[in-house]
Amino acid sequence: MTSAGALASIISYQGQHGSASWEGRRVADAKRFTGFLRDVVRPRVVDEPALFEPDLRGLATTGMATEFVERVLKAVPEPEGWEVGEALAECALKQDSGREVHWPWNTVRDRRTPRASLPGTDLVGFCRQGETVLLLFGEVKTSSEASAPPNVMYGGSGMTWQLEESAKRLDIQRSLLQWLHARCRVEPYRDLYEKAVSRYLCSEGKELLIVGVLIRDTQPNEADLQSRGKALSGKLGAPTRIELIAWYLPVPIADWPRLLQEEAP
Amino acid sequence: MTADSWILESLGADKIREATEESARRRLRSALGADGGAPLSDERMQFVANALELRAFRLLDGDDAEALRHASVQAFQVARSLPRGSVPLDAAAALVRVSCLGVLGDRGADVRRLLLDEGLPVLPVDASDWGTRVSASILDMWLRLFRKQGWEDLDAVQQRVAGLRADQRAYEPTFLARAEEQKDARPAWELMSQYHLAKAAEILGVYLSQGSVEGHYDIREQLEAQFDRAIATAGRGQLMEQETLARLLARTARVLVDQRNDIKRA
Repeated sequence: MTSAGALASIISYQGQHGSASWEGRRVADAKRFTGFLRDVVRPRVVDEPALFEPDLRGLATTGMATEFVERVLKAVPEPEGWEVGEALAECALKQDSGREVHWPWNTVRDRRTPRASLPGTDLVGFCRQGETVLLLFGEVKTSSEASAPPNVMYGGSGMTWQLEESAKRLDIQRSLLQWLHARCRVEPYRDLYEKAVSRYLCSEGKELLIVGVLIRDTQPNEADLQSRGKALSGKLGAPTRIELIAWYLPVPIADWPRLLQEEAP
Repeated sequence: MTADSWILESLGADKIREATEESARRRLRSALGADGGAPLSDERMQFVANALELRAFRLLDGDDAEALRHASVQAFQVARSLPRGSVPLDAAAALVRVSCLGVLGDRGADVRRLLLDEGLPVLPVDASDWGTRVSASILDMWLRLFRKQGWEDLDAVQQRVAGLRADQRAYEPTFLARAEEQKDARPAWELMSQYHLAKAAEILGVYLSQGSVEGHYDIREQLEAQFDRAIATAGRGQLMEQETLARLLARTARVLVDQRNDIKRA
């Protein structure tokens, strides 16, 4: 049994090929998982109502009409299963043992809306192991599909392609580094930023940690990750590091949004 | 030695020198209409240009104007000779960023020459997709503010803003209905951020042509309010590109206002 903070898990499989490693983790205790969703993940996902009123008042100063955007913002949906999956991936990685993962969100609002809008950047942060600090870019996919690997791993919006894009595309990395800078002006993030970006620049943009997290409510199956890990290692050699992690969870993904809204018994 | 010298040290002086020299060679070849192999690939040039832009970006909010000027001109010298890409919106966004670096580096004349020589990308300012139309209009407005080719460019900025206001009710509801259907609020945040950039462009355009806006001779506060909101709404929508562009434009607009004030005082 390996400990991942409150989300205790059992390693179902592990593998490595070149620069890529992969690991499947199964969480067996449904009650404990539900508690993790409510206590750790919920504060990351559930937004407060009407936070956008000052933004609408500001918009009125532009001379543009405000009613159409107001309508969309008011129709803020309940969190979807995939949104919960992304928040869950961040919380679980943060509690991972053997290293420190930092997400540079300084405010409550930042914590609620950290997801970025570029391909391959659901996760943006830093990973410290000993004296080494790396930029961490990652992608999260959530799937109940029975087949392994599920479709979310393939194609133009699939995890493999998006991870490759974030590791290779300089325009994505330019935006990410500038965007991160604005969130890393105070310690400890400032120091983490400078160390990680220094490594990135010294290695001509290669020394990165690229993380793919697959969230499942199926039985563990190494076929979910193995072929994708091998394919990525062929495209992204060292010093880039690729880690694929699949979480096999004991509660159906479709139930997560409802569980998030419920109070603890 | 500045607080940001770690970027230069990590990148290495040799790489910066190589990229700067290659950029000068490319400009010379382009001026002479000569072909020639490129000893340094576009990708390596872009990497160095991005790192130098990052250095300038880190100085945007500081008080050291001279350090910002130096970092910006260094980034501009490499970035100006890079290919802009074949997609007009991407090419225009790249040109806006390069132009910002040039203005921040006190190379406004070089920026104008670059925009006159290259011409502005043909942008979909009449696209039926409202999001595309707004993005294209905003980029076009800012490029015209940097180019300032006669009064036509400054007039065109005012016309674009007026056009957006006039067309909003006809196009925006359909565009946002699609976003609502997809349960995605980000297009709404993006529009909000862009409307603030449009308003900032309008204020700046009037100021550059008339020296005042509605009787106000100091417009910095008005501009700052629009840029602060453009940055904040981009942040709310998790729009990285939009947020970083707004931050860059905010400081660049300040420099353009200061330059206009210097002309008035002279």
